[in-house]
Amino acid sequence: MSELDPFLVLTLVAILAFVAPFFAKALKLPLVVGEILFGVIVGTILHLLDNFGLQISLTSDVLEVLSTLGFIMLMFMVGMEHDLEELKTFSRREKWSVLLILAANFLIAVTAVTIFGLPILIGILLGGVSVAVLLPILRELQLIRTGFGFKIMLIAHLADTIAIVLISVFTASLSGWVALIEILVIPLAFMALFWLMDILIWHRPRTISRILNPNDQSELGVRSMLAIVLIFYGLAFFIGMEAILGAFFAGMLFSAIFKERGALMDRFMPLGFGFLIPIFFIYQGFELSFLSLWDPFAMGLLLLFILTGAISKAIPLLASRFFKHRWSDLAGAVLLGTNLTVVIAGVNMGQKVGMIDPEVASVLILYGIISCVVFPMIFKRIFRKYLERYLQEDTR
Amino acid sequence: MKVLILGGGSVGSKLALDLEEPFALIEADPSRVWQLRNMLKGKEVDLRIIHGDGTSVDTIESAGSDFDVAVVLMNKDAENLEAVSILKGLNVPRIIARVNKSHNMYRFIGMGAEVFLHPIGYEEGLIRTMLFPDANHALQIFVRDGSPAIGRTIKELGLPKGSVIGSILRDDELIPPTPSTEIMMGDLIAIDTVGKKATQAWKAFSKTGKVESSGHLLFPLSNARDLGPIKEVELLSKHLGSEIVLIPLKDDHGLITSARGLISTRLPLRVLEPCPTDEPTRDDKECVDLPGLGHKDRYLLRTIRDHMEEGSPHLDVFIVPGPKPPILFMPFMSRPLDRMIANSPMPVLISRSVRKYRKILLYLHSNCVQEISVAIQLSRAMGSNITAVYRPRNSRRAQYLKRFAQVYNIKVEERKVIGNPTVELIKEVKESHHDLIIIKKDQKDIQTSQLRRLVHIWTGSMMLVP
Repeated sequence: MSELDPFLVLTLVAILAFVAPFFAKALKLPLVVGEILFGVIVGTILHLLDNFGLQISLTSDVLEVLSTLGFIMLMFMVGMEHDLEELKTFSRREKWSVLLILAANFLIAVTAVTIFGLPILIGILLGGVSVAVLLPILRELQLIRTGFGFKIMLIAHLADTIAIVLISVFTASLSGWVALIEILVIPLAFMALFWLMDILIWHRPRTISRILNPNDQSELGVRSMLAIVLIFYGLAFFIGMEAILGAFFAGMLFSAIFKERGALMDRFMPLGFGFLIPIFFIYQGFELSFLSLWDPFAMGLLLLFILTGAISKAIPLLASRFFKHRWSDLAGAVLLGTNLTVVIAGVNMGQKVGMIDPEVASVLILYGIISCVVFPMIFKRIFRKYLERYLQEDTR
Repeated sequence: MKVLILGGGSVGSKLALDLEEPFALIEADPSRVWQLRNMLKGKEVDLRIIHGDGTSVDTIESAGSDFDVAVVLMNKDAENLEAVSILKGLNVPRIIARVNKSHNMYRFIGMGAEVFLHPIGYEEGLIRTMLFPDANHALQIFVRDGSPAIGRTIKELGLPKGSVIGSILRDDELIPPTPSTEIMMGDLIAIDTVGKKATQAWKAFSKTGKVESSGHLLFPLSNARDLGPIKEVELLSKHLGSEIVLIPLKDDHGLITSARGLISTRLPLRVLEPCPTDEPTRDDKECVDLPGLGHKDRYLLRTIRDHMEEGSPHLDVFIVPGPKPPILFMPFMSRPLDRMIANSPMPVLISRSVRKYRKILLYLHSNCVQEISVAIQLSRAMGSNITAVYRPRNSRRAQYLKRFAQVYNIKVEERKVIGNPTVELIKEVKESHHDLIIIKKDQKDIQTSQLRRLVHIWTGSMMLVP
């Protein structure tokens, strides 16, 4: 096996990262989906070459570190998409019904998975919803400002958060109950830091203003964000837990403290989406291969995942008549089937813990990709016109 | 005051006929110059009529120097713009320009000119109010729910002769008024009137139709501490001409008497029936959807709603004393005051100031018509300056504010903030001394916890607009 120089690999990744957006655009896919699909294709090619006797290993320590950083950054960005204050606009009854729907969703997904003898972790993954993918889709369809869009986003936000917390708790529970108690440190640290920052803004607005000023030469904002992300990451690491929850909470903290985070995001985006996150996605894709899907077992598994992912959301939504209209309930269920970030995070962690083997992992990731391509397409083709009629009636 | 008029068309000539100050007029058409000379022959003011191009530096310089104000009235916006830039270069202190196409307005305002839109009819009257601002002649009306003007066109309003609608601000869009423009709820309308027509124009927007009806200052009283803001209430009533409405929350005769004693007898005052002490009646069930509010607060909210129903265009304010700063402030927890503010359909003033407002801080964001209206009414009445804090993307709103403020000669200072708006607002509040902050109560830009801090801990007055 020939080991390539890490910088050569980095160059390759950088070129791929540059080309990926064009690729995604050509196929009309969301960028995230396009990137990972691109990575998988490259991975498949490498596996093909492997079959012909040409072994190239693209793994290296440098990339490993960069990819982990990209993963942390991704979870941070996902956390930042959440706005706790948006919850206020919903009535208590709506919040409870959403919580019940989500409980049913996870229960159905976990039950379905355990029946087929797969680990519970996969069930949790299938119950998730990807906010990062859903948000641009709703924006594109101009549904984000409607009541339907708001409700969908509420479910998505909560499902995303719950799935990530559940994954962390679940993996922590494997190393004993002490870890479960230790996990409480994160929300506590969240509250404490929120309060601290709140006081700091009030008493030292000048200092904070300097941190947030986009014209600051020393880029204090990016430094402070990196510091907070890595503090949370370190905290999570220290209590023997995966970083995912730490980075996620750090993102939520930032979005909670600085309600209007546009300027901050603008400066962090280049580092995240321009450099580290593509590396993570593409590197993740390298290790997977479509070849492993040429197997009835894998195909069946993929079908199972897609069906479970959709049904687990459709049943509670239809039963509770959340959108008060059968067509829009179905449309909501289809839209909520999109699920990628949680799956990738879960697969990453599941593989480290040893719960998910590489073959199932590639099927899961493929499920993630397909869900992000197929479900929005079904929504656009079939449900949009019904929904438009419903929205018109609604406004009348 | 020495005036320079560029363009001697119909508006320019009428203005020249009316003016009683020394002026110079530049006109390009020779036959028109001859006509104008004949027309203005008998006028006993120092005047000069010059034939020449209004966009040439030489012509303008030949008309004289040390003009106090220039009025640019040519037919093409390009010519007007050129003239404005030349006049700016010649350091003319004030420039009033006619804008022929509304989309060009921002260019004029950007160059520092005061503008009005053409054609609106009766322009010379408008120019006169701009030249000699008189707060009694220029009105500014925020159209509230229930106003009879809603759904009617400007033609149907029946405004008195001699009053002109200058501009309408609707949903962050400045609309050039035409006779067929329909008035909608939430519009901010600037009306210029001549003489004592202001009250008549006012009438077209008031639901009660009472000309003398004024705004209300709702002032609840439950204990001696509530008498704190009485000085500010008196001040507001004196300047705005509003009626003070005392709302006793318990049947304490001594408290009401001392409140009456503290308010000058010359100000209009009304005392409502004390809040009933018994359990909520059937009426209160309407307010049961307000969680976390006590019996008295619900009574207050109902009183506020009753006063809002009148739909009068005046400024109504609900005034509460600044709360005692807590020892340990918990930004996560809302207090009764926060819930009261959240539910009130009327601007709520947290009163802490005892002197006339000299500086008012106004936060502009994407939907700020009502705040602009409140700020202008207050600073007009008190002669205060406005500091507008806004993000770059809202700079157009700052221009609207300037356009409205210029009618009343209100000084507007702009403060463009880059970075996080919450932090920048706190910085501005802490570093420069403002007597009043006007801000929308829930909006996306400002962090709720910091807004609560301003309400509970800050030392100045604060007005939260719904």
